[in-house]
Amino acid sequence: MTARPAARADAKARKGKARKAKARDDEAREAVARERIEAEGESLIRGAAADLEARDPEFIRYQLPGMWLLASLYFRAEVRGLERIPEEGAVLFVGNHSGGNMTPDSVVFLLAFNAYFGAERPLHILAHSLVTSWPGLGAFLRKWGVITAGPTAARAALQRGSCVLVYPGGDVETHRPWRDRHRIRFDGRRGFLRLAAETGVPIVPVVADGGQETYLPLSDGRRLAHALRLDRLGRLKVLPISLALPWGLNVGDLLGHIPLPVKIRVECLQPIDVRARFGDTPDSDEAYGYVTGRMQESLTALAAEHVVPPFA
Amino acid sequence: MRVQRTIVVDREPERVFALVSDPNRYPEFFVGITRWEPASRKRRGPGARFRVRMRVGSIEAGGEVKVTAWKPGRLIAWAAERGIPQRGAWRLRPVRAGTEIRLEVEFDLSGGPLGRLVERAVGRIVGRNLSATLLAVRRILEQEGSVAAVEARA
Repeated sequence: MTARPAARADAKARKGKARKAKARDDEAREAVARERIEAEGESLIRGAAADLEARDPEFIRYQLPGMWLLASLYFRAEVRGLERIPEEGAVLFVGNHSGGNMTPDSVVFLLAFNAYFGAERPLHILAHSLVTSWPGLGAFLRKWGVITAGPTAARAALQRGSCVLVYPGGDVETHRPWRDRHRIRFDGRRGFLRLAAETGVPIVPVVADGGQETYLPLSDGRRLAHALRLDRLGRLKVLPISLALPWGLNVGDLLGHIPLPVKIRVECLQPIDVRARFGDTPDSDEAYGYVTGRMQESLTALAAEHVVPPFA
Repeated sequence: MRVQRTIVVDREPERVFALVSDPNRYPEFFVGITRWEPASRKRRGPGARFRVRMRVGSIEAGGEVKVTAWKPGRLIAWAAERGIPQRGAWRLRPVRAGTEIRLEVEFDLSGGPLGRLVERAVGRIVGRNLSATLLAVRRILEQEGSVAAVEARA
């Protein structure tokens, strides 16, 4: 009879020890994980800061006139509403993405912004890591202020008082098929709303029309990308199929293409103060619907100015 | 590149200066300028800053300028502090027929052979704008003069 309580106590002690050892293990594991996350976070922040530092106003000033000449001759670029942009401080530009991997409307807006405010006012465009890691091209774009997309990079830029242009729709939007060319397609992504609310920065929607007519996108190949596990391997949600110069049938658009000289119209809308308007729920359906709705209105109006064929 | 135009107006330099030193009226006569807004509390005299935008062809370009010289009745000069590198001046000189106004702008659109091409094209546009601006200045001064005369008679 006496052995039992002793054995029970023994077992209790053993259990206690095991629990303590497990707790120690857990703690150690957690510490390691924490350290790793911190190190990753720091390297992310360092990477983002290095990206931000790479922007070169002198280079921009030197390149700007010639680049604008090409853009205005080739795309007859037209940018409206620049006067609606707050003259000072950080602004989060939210754009609709078009033109496959060539995105001529981003180029047009980048040039117009730098001409309007001067190269001293920093604007960073968030781009897919595939673009910024392209040899040669990546370095060139970083001088223009293009940085690798990610919430850390965007937040770091906004907190410095720089302007940031994001394309919430990303690859899913820029490869949308021809029939959706006049549609805003953010695919439910709301990170930009949280980002604006967190940093207290106004959103200025930048609506561009014409880019999706610089080639003939047939399908975004979303199902195909999923079946080939590209979404897991390369953060690619789509495998676009299009007709484009000089390839003819163009699968993936990884090497880009020659865009057709379609007229590009860009309009900046009135600033939206997400915090003031939507308070604690900046990423609600209401907020998302409001921003995308305003952009859709503008895009439809811009599209209505088209003369057929779309080159005018 | 430097562009300049002159015109003679049948008014005394002080009257001309009153008009060309008033940035609130620039949109009325400064052709191509879409914005000339104060960016400092000081609005007149040397050191005053303005946010300036100019439409050149299909682009609206600009930056911030600072008034670098201010001699009542004779001269106002400015230079860009931010944005497109440029400077310019209104120079007034009394002549027998009234006042000779010289408006000059100098800008730099460096950037290789393409940049030089753009600079030449922009120079032509700016030249036309300066001529039109001076015509507008003369029209306004002479009209205002006649309005004042009518009012004085009435």
